[in-house]
Amino acid sequence: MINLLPLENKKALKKEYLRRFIIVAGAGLFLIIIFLLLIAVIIFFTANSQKRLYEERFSFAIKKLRSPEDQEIINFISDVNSKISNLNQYQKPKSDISQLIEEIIYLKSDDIKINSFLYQANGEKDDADTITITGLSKTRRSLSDFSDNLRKIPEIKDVVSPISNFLRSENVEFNISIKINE
Amino acid sequence: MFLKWVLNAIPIPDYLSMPAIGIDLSDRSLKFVQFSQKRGNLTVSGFGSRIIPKGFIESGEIHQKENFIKFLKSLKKELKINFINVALPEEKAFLSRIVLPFLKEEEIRDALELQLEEHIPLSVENAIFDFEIIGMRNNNSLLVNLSAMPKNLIENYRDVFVAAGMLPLTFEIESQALARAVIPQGNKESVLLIDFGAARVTSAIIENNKIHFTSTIHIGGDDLTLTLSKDLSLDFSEAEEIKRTKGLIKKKGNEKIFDSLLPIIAAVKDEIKKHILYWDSRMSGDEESDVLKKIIICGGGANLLGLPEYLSYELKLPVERANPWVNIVSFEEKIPEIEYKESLIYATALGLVLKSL
Repeated sequence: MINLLPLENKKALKKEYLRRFIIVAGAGLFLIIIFLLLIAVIIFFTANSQKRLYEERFSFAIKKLRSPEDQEIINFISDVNSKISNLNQYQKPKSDISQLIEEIIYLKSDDIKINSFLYQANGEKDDADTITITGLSKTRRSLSDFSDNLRKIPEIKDVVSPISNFLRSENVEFNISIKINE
Repeated sequence: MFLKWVLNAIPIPDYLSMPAIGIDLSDRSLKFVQFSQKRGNLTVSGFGSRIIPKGFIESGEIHQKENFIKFLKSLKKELKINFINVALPEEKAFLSRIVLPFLKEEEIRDALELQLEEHIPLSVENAIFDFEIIGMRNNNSLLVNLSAMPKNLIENYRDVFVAAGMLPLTFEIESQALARAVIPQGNKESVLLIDFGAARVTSAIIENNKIHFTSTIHIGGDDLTLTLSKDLSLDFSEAEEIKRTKGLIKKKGNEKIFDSLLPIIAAVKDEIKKHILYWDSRMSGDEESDVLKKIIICGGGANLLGLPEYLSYELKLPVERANPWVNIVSFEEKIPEIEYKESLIYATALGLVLKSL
């Protein structure tokens, strides 16, 4: 098509058209992005509310499915389990202590006569349980050996034999305190 | 089809499409047509004409620049227009058909610059020209239509429009815009197009929707009215009314009117005959052109009763009044906003608007 507009004006028009095209395309792109973001936000909130709705329905359905009899049985089982757990807690250390006492008795020589055992469980977490043994040793040497043998038992953490135990050389009345590993 | 549907659904914003109004300028008047497009339908959103005060433009050249700028500013204020397609005065244009060896399109301009002065009476420095390739010749050369106008004339028009706040998108010669409006798209016949204006008659030969030749004579509809007014001792408006109602029809009671109008119409006819002879002589040469199939007349003078019949009888060719809506709207689908007789006056402006659509 013939156009007798001067060349510089034709070039200026082309530039102006390009400028307008970029502005319109940019604005269009911006609007599309805004539109897509809007859609994404709507989808997010819709999905979120639906998720909450389904969760509520699900928990309601579970509650509805459980009859009062079921609930009683569940409560009973839970109660029994708790009791068993408590029993296990008490029973286990006791059986361990019995074994330890048996071992202590096994280790003593004939010169040692044990008069009493006292087991004390400490409530505090950091404190070890203790067994206090009182008895009579024919010789000081026998008592010393007995103390050494006790220290060799792996379950025993510490053996406290006061100096008063060794004042007499024969027919020694002793008092030994044993700290047990946890 | 799909693209049309998409464009209807999401129309290109005006900011980007830069819709322009068509402005047809002559020494005495400025005619404009404005279109708008809604849901794919073209609608005339404004049209009109303004009388340009005498002396602003003479023989196509702007003589009173400042006054003309004021005149255009008032028009811009009224119409709120930013972009315009303008038809420049035909008599200042030079048209030439040039044969060039095969060249790339960007090289054609350089080639034309070198030989411009061989084809038009203007130097390269003093001319603004453009071209269109109209076909091939003997499969080894290009046929190029060259249009040119004096540089200072175009720059003057550009400057006044820009000063008035209107940005010209196109400057073209009247016949180009006229042909776009009245020759159906795809028509390949050779047609003689006559624009019978108030001050001048322009004829152009169009083939394959391309202009091959134009000529302007300074006789027009106003000369017919003036002659009638002199011969019948009437004032201008009375003579205009008689011209409009009686026309060029020889019947009882109309003899005086017919005899008064005939010499001017005959002069126009003789000029047209010369163009037909010129075209026929090219036919006998080596030009590969078609014979003229018909004459189409438009412009205000085309409304003169009996004119097509007279020209047809004298020139031995079918003559018809133009349909400026032929490429815009089908009369079966819609009645145009501008009445048919009036639309003949706005044919050039309609063609200018069509360029932007």
